[in-house]
Amino acid sequence: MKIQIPEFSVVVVIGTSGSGKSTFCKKHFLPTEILSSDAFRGLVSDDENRQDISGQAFEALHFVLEKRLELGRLTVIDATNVQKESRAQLLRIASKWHALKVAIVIDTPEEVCLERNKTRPDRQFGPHVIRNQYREMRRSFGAFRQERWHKTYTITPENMEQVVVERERSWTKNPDEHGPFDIIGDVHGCIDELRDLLNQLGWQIEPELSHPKQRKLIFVGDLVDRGPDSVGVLRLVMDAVERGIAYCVPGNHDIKLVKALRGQKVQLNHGLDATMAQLSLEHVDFRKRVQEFLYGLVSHQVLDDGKLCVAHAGLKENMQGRGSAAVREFCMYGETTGEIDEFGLPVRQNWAKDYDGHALVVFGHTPVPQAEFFNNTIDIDTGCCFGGKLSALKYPEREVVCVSANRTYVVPARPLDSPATPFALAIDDGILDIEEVLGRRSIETELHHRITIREENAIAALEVMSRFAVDPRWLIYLPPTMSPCQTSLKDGYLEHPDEALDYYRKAGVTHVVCQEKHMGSRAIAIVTQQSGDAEKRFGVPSEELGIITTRTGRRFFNDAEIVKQILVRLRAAAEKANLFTEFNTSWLLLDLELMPWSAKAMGLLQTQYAPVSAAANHSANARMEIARKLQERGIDGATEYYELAQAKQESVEKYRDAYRRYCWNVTSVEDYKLAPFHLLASEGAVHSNKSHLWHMEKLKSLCAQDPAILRETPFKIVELDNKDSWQDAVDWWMQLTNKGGEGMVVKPLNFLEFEANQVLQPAIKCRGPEYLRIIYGPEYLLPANLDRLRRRGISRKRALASREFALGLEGLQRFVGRESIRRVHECVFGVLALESEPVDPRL
Amino acid sequence: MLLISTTHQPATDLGYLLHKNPNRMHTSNVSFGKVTVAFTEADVERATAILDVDIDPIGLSRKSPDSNKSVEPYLNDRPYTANSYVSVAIAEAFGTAMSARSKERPDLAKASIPLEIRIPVLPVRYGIGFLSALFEPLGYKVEAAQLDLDEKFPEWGKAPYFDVSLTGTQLLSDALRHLYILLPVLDAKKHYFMSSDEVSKILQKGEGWLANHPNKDSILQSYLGRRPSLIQEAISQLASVESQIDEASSEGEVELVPAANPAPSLHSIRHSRVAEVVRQMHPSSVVDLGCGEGKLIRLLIPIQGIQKILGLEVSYSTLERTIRKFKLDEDGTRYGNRLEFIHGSLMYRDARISGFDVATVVEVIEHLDGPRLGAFERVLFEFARPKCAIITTPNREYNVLYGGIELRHEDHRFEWTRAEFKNWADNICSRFHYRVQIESIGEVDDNYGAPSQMAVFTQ
Repeated sequence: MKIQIPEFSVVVVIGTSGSGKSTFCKKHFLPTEILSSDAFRGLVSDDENRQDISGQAFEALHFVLEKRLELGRLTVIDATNVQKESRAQLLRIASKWHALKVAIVIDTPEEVCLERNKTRPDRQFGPHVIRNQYREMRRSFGAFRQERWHKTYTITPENMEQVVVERERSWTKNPDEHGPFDIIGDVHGCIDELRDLLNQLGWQIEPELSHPKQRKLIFVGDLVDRGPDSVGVLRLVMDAVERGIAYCVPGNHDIKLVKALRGQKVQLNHGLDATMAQLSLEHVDFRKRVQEFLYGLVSHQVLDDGKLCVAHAGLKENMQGRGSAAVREFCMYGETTGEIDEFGLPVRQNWAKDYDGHALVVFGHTPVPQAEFFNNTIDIDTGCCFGGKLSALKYPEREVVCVSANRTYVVPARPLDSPATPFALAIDDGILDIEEVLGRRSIETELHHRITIREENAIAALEVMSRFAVDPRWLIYLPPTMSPCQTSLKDGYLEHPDEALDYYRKAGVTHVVCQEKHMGSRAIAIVTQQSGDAEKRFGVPSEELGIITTRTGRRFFNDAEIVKQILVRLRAAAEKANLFTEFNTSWLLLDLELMPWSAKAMGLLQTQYAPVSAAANHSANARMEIARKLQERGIDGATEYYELAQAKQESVEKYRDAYRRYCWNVTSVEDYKLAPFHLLASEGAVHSNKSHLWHMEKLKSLCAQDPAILRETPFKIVELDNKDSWQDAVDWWMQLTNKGGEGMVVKPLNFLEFEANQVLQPAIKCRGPEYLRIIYGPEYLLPANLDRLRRRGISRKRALASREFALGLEGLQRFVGRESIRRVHECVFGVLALESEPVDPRL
Repeated sequence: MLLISTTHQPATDLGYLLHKNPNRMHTSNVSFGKVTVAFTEADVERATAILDVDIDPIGLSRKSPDSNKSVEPYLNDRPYTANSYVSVAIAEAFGTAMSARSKERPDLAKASIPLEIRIPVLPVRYGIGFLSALFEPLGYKVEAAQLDLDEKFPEWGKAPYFDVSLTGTQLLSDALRHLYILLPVLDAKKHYFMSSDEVSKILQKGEGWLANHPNKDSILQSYLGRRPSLIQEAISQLASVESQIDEASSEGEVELVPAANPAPSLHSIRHSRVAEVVRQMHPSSVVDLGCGEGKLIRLLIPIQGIQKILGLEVSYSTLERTIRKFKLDEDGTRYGNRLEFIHGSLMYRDARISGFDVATVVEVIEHLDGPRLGAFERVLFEFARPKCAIITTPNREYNVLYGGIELRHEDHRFEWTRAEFKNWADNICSRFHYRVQIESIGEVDDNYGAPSQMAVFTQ
């Protein structure tokens, strides 16, 4: 006897005590798949046979069942399940999670059960219990038939040994099918437009449908009705599906047609009458073929490792890949409330508004004027039969291709561009839920797999994010922290380029780029092309041209006027450098250094750097005066005292010079300097797949447009296996830092480099000795101090840098992929949370 | 660093009084560095002893528990200023002199002599007035020159340090004990040597002068930090002390208390009024958004009929402190399970705060960034949707009467006039279908209104 179990189902085993349920379960299922009521009795009360705590035991069992179903795991319930009520509870839970329901009745004769129980010393209940259970089971068999099981099996002692359990893969899941795909919107019998569209997508229609690049088609359903030639469309699609070059999911019109063909009673309206008329002219075999084809369609398809989901009316994340009646219903009609709008059409809930799933959902059903990405979903029904367009989505390219309808075949009840069209209004409203950020979180990233955010870090980030950060709709990226190079052992140096270059050499990188580290503050700038873009693309209801934020997501300037002036200049420069056109974008995201440092750090300067300097210099001068007098008096030890006083005085003077280099007064916009070093993202693209040379060149052309406020970043490309090239980089660093410069940043020439599948540090900083006085104190270079400071560990900092880097880019990928603001914010929030990890801030 | 000079004749006696040979360098190691005593002059007419405390900044910051928190420890004014480390050094180097003992000059040790004390870099909190208020009653003439923050940037103003000279005729032991206590008092930074025997130290070193010092309260408060228990202990042990220290002031910044201020603060007037309005609503549930340390909640707890009080606070450290104060960390069901505190934010939709009869938002909105006020409005009025919301905020017009300050708190992002507040409230009403009544809080001025304003929104 063969038992077929769908891979995502709740298997309820029914039978009295002693019927052999547990033995059966253990034989055919994994121990972790089986939830046994006796085991739960034991878990909550230390006694597997205790009956008076059934309530608690089942409550715990149901809880675990829900968690398993939430995670999509097949689960077997090993309990007597003889009562209708106890089964009803399980069925309710299964329905809630859209799991299929399988019942297996172990029908072992009462006497056998009684006999078995006698031999079990731990069973204390008498024979009446089993008799009652047996009776109850028999009695509830009547109800059993009405319980809407997907499959039921009965096992008797005779066939028990021959049972084979097979798992059926869900028909809706095709993870190994990677395309590439051309996904076609609602065709509704518009065969001419379909042919045009296929042509445009590069398909050859004669002699038989084929694509030179082996692409595959997916139809989102509603092949028939309304348009002129449903039969022609059906023929084309059926041929393609049967030849294995196309998938099709059913639409509500298709399903209604099957019903009509099968002789069920349906209203012949909305074009079904015409379709039936067309079909009546066809051979009966063709009608039969159509009927079988449409009947066999699976509600939706999850493809490409779960990254793509196609369903006629869309699908929520917790229904994807599942097969309950509710799932099929949703696929067909979406979420309706029963309300009827002013056009007499059902009001459709905008499920996409709350969608934040991993899979891109491609759907149709609701005609919209334009196919546009929204929260990682896209509606590609552009109302061809209503005189709109027939659209296709190229996947994974995420390009929309469309052809206009030849004419209006049907006048729609609701005008296509009516503002009531729910999906056209679907701009994210930017209100996030606290549940999406608080607590321990785990974020899936492309670069670094899963990144865990600890609860205490999320707590810290919540405060910063709430009190200081800009609108989350603007905040699509935070830069990662940057690790310094390994500590140098060279005399007089804490950091030296040798160690920075060596990190990449050892990791097998051949070329790096060394960029001068500007003496400013890290900033992220978004600049839009024209007014209205901020609202259109970012959903921020403002006239702002863009935004400049700090590395922790705060507004860089409190003065809106300054930001505006800078952004006006930046926008003009980007326009002149042709960047908006080149990248076909309405916005650019720049990673940059903004100078002077005093513009941002005035508070720190005036409360910390300058006071220490004032005290240190005055104190050093006083000590020098004392030292001179002691020398004059010829006191023993005065010379050593004098020398130390002098060394200290020199240190504190140098410290003062070091921080002063970061300060200049700003009176007009041109006193600010912006030095961009990454052109990080533009519409549809995160430019982390380009080399740093590419970034430098693009930004050079940008900076050239407005040198008064834009400053190029000087850089050098270094061949790591070439000694001269290496020495050249060291000399350059010496030159920069001898003048008091901050030092340089070393990056692999390619934005992303890996070693053993781990992403390398995106950048390593190597700071100059004078600059480090600001970090480690005026006197850090005195030999006794330097030796102690060399004991510093950078591994934590590096681990953090990698994770923040991965999260930052993930957030950007999600943003350019038009995923929901929640999914973007999750990453940005994660970076901020990681920044609260206790790491030596001097690194 | 510290320089002590005398013109007592013969001035060389200073060496005997300090127990240090004027012709040698005296160095000793202490846990935080090295202490040097030497004489830059030692003539019959005049002698000057120097106390140089060479603080090891690296050692200091490596020990600091905060070293992971901010740049501060490595970049620190401690090595360069006269602070509590110098106090410790004084006791270390001049212990005998402090107790007015001298083997060679026992009588002189008990006699007043002309002294001049120079402190090149003295941190002075509250400015020069505080410095004078501390030393002049003790019989010193005070001269002080404030250091520039950075002479290259004169617009940055002055540094919080003074080059100070104190002259007066004093017992040397007294002068040392004055310095021992008053250096940490003047220093706004944390007193590094805070321990439970601080009280006995201050009593011992303050013997004979502290009890009669007109500013002894400020001295005690500053020296002992924000520790009401220590302060009380010291007060009760100092003879003839009747003054009280307001417990409230121990929570905030220690202030130089100019005079008793018997009038209730604006803060408490506001809380009382809000609690009164809540009482009149007869709510069964109240959520206090931005509850801080729970001062309003203390007033809500006694109100009968409220079955649930929820305090929401964005600062986790404040929240933890508050939970401890209410002792909910020991027993979460105190107050009959009516009271709960949660960590949350007004920038995020939060199911936990929805469905309340009353929401109070007291002096919170002015801490929100202007552009993000919109998020708060929706979180409160669209999603949480309390039956009644009570919101208070300062009235900017009244700032004229505070000397024309721009904003009352450095974290205030804005303050509204009465008209601006009303506009905002009316706009809320029309967007979210509430009605509003606005009233003023605090003493009303004819021209500028009251210091604070309150809007009561009802559905």
